[in-house]
Amino acid sequence: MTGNWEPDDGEQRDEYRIAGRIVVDLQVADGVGDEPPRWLRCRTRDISASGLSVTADEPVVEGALLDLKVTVDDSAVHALLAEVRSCREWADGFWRVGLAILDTGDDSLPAWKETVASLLEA
Amino acid sequence: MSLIESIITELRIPDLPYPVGQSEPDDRSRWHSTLSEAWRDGSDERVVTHLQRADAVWSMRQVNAAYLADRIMNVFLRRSGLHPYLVHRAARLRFWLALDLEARGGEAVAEQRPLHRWLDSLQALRGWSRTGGRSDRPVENHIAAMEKAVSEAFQAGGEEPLEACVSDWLEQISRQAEQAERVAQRLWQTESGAAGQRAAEQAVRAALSRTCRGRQLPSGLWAFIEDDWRPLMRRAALEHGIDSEPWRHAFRLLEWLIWVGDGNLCGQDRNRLYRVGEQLTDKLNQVVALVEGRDPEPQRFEPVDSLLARRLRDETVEQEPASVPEADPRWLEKTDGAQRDEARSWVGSWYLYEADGQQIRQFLTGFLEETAEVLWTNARGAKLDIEPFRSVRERFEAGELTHLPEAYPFASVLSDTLGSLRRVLESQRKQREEARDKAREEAEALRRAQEQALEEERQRELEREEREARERAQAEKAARDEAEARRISDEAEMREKLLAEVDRLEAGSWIQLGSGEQALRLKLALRIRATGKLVFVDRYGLNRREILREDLATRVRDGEAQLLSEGAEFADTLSRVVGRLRVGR
Repeated sequence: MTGNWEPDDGEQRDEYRIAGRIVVDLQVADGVGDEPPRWLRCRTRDISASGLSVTADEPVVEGALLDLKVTVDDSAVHALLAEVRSCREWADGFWRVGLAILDTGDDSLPAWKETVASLLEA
Repeated sequence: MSLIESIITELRIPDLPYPVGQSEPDDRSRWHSTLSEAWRDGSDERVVTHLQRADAVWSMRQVNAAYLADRIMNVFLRRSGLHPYLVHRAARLRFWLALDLEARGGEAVAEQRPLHRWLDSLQALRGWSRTGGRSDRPVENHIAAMEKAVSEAFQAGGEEPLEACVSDWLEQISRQAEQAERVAQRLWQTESGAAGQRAAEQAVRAALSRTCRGRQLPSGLWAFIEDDWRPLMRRAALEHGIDSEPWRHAFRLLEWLIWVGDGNLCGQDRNRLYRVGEQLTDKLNQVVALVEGRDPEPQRFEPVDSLLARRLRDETVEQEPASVPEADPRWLEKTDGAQRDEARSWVGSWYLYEADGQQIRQFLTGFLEETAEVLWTNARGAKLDIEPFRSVRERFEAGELTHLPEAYPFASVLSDTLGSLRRVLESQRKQREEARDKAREEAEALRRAQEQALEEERQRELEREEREARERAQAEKAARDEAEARRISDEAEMREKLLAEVDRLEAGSWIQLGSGEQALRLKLALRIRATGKLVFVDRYGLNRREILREDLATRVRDGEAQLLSEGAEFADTLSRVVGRLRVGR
């Protein structure tokens, strides 16, 4: 179901990650009735073909499956499903969240991997 | 592309706010103002910390220029050996360096650039300690001038103010270095002379301490020793050394004088007293001639002669305890050659130690052989202290005193820093290529897997449809087969019945062949049992026809013939059977 993403436990992921800061929106709660869904705006620390490490203002639950939207360029928005692999508070008061992107059987994960490959090309 | 240019445009360090994709960085003025404000506020933070804090999109070039400036400055300042206060002030130049690196790339750190020259020139301040005294002022003034020049450079957008400031500074430190050298030379000459005097005085004190301890002396003799013999011995030590003949003779005669002076000693050996009395004055004259190079005044030894006369007459002489000076007996020992060689190897280096939380630096200018002491000076060549080498070594071994690290020029810092970043860069390039290929392969593999799953689904659907069609066909065939079997069975049954009817035909029985106007009525004339043939004729007995019984049964079944002589029941049965057969076919 997932790629070979490992939790961020002291920068030990074996996959090459692109260090960089872009906006990621995590849907941390579904909408109920008239209440709209709640999105948590985060910023990446790095991205890779199978996951992302983001900095968040608040913690998220490890193991949760969350919808997320990543804006790689101004024109390319990826809607993905991710599993929260790790969530730790750092000394700066922010939370470091490790996300593994899941294969939902559609083209979202392959398209993400191709986007990352293109970024690695640059 | 130069290495620095490659680093600035390609490197990605974890947790730094690089852009991802083709996002355009924010206005360039944001970059300039961020660095300029950090400089103006006297920030001690890293440049990248300021970039991280701002919610802005920075370019690769800007983030890496900031990172490189931080790294270069950190390495330089850690290895510079400069006083922490100087390091602290110089470290802030990282903001200017970041701006320049972003603008010029590798040119920003070329040898002729003012920043490079200034950082290298700081080696002249390796020995500078912040003491709070007057000597701090020139350095403090220069640092302030340099900071003002950087502020102007930020405002002007060019390095001209820096260039002017650095040129002035280089001239100033060149003059100071020459001046410090002159001061140090003069100081060395002075201190070398003073050391000889000090060694001679200490040797005399040690000699007096050794010979006078516990002795009782007449005051007249003690006055002679203090006023005459002590200066003579000091001169012997200073001019000839403590391993010379004049010193040894003077020291021996001091012992004779003490022996003669203390009645407790000379009173016990009258014979020796006579011998000493005969020789003492002559020997005093000889030693004076040896040390001073001239004969003494005739009355010079009158106090000694007078005492000798009284001793020989065995008169009572009033005595008092000798005044013994405090002294270290090691001053009577010749300088250890090994220690001297070791001490000389320490000369010409900077050392540092902590005092009241302050780091103090001092230069070991020279080893004073006569006293086995070292001369400490500061960066301006001024005297700081004279300290026995023994004590220096003890402090060093106790870790209280350490070597100041060797000077580390800025060019070496650059070379080391860029060398290690080159390895990171090359490793990242390789990792990026591998990760890119892997991501593509995974994307393709996922898509292939999805297509294969779809294909398998389609295949399963097709197979299901085929299976259902096959099952339907089989069911239909089974139905057909069943009908055929029933038909065959019916036909066989009917045929049996027809054959039985045919067989029941008796001669005279009528049949009709054909129908309508072509119909031909015939009568059974003969049955040939052996061959199964029936022979029919018309009512005239003509038109003989031979028909095999099976053939007739078939014709009847097919409606081509009728057995006319049978009753209605037979005809009905026959009609039903024939009808069913037709439907089945």
